[in-house]
Amino acid sequence: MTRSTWTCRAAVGLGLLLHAATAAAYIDPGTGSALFYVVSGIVVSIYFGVRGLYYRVVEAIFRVRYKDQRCELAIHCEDPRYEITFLPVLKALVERGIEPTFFTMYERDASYEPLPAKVTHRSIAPGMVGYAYLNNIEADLLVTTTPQLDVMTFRRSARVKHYAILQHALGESRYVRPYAYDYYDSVLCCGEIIKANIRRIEAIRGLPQKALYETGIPHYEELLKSRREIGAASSKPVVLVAPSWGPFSMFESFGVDFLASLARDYQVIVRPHPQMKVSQPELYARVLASSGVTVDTQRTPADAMSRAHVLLSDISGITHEFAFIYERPVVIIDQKRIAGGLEGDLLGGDSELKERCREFIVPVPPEEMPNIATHIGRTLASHSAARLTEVRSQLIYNFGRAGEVAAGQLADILARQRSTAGAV
Amino acid sequence: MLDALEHVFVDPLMLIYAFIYHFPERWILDAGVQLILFSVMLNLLLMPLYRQMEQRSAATREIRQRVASEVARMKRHFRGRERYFYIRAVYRNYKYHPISELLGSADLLVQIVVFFTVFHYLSGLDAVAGQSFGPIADLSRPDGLLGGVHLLPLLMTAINAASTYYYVDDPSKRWQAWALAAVFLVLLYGSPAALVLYWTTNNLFSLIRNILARRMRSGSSTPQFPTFARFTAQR
Repeated sequence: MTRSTWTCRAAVGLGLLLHAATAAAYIDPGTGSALFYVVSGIVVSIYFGVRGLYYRVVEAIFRVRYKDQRCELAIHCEDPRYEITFLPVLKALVERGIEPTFFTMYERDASYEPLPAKVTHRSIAPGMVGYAYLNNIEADLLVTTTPQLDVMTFRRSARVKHYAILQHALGESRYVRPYAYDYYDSVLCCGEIIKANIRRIEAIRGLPQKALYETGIPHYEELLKSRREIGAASSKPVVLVAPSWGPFSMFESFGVDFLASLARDYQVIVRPHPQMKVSQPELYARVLASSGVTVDTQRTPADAMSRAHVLLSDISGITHEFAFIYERPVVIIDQKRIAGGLEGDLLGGDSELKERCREFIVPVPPEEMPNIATHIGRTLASHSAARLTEVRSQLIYNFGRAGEVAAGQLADILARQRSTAGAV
Repeated sequence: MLDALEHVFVDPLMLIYAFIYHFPERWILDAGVQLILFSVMLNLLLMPLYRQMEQRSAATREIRQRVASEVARMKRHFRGRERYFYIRAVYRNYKYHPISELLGSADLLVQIVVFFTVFHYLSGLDAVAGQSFGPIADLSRPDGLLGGVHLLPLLMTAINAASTYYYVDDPSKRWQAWALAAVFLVLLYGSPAALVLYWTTNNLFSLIRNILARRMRSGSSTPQFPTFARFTAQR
């Protein structure tokens, strides 16, 4: 056979093959066509390569090794609101003779509490530039409260031996974003629920088990310092209304009129979320204009919480702090949180934390909002501080001394890293 | 250059095909039977390789499905930068990269090579020139058994249609596959009877083997043959 005949037949064959490849996609939809996946593989790879180019260029530009990037224990604080978590740990570390370097993604001025002596402070840029710096530091151990190491722009530095995450609130994995804890070497857990959650996610994703420490929540110690007993008994119990902001917040869902009806039975302190002023100014103004209630806009909620007998809210963060620090009950409007895309998708079911706390953080369905005063009355009447402290001891590790515990655990990790380096 | 490549890669296969084709000659002198045996023996020899490839592609398919499901979840809930990074994390979690589809397609390459080289071998097979097989007067020419109408391509298409009926449950996809079988009928209608006889036997072998395999693995809907073997079953 001549070469031209062979070429011609090969071309016919190729045509058939391509037709057949298309046919295979119809033949067995479960299997698909290998050719289709080859083509789509090339297309997706190109898309990913181009899409990731920007991040890789930024990363490359800032891949400069600075002299001040070398330290033994690096502590990274992304936002001023997490300082309260690190301060007790920093103090306890210094007491142990450890001299950490405290990297903040903001400037610290005189209004901040002074850092303990022997803590070196370095302010780095916020956002991607700061992470590009952080991604190249050199340390035996890096501790942070920022989740998603090696997922978004916060990447592992090849020169950091161990990464640990410390928790800044009582929580569970179901409400965190994907891969929140997956690529840390260790997690200093707030309580048993998150510990179990992390183990389950490791099993689901087939990840190696990381070190999970029973630590607790260091910032509760700082909150305990600002806790005060309720002052002189008022004629009516004090209800602190402190909801979240945004489209699913209590004020957005139910308006502000319920405040006036609540004020008939209770003394009401309203603490609108600071973000409302920026994002929902009209609603914020309506809250401020509410009659018969006290509006609290102080920088911290400590004073309002100290005065309140009961908290009415719609989110978890402040509710746990109020219940566990002040040992007083909470009523939450139970607007179902959808775990769309969050780790709760993998865990399934409902919040274990909500279930375990429902005796003193009482969920009330939204349709019961017209009867909220009655629910608050019932909650106050049935509240048992003893029961609350019992549950607290089950849910939170080392309540009131987590800073010291965390410092001990970090010192152990650090010592191990040093000894490993020495052995090498 | 092309000659060198042909000598290195194609010629050894031609020798193997020639051995398989001519091996039964001492007992059988009928070219048509030889072609049928050639098809069956080649399929039997390739069966372990195809089985291994199928197992590997089944594992890849499972990972691909999991990745696709996770990527779809991320796309459903996240946008822009977050979506990009989460999809990257999904790939990392499953040790998957879209480019791995290329590396994992080595089995497809094997199937393409077999297809081309067999086509090449049979196209140049002088031994069938002027040879009859049953009612087929000359295997090197289209059969023209039905008063000038070629029977073998119709038979091949009938087997394709049966394969489609057997493999595909979705009615719309079944009709599409039947339409494609009709296209192949048009394309191969005028081919030499030897070539069509080989492919028809090949298709029949695949169909019977898959029916048996499915019966043995009751409850399983995954055909045993690798993707390209199913391509040929459609031809």
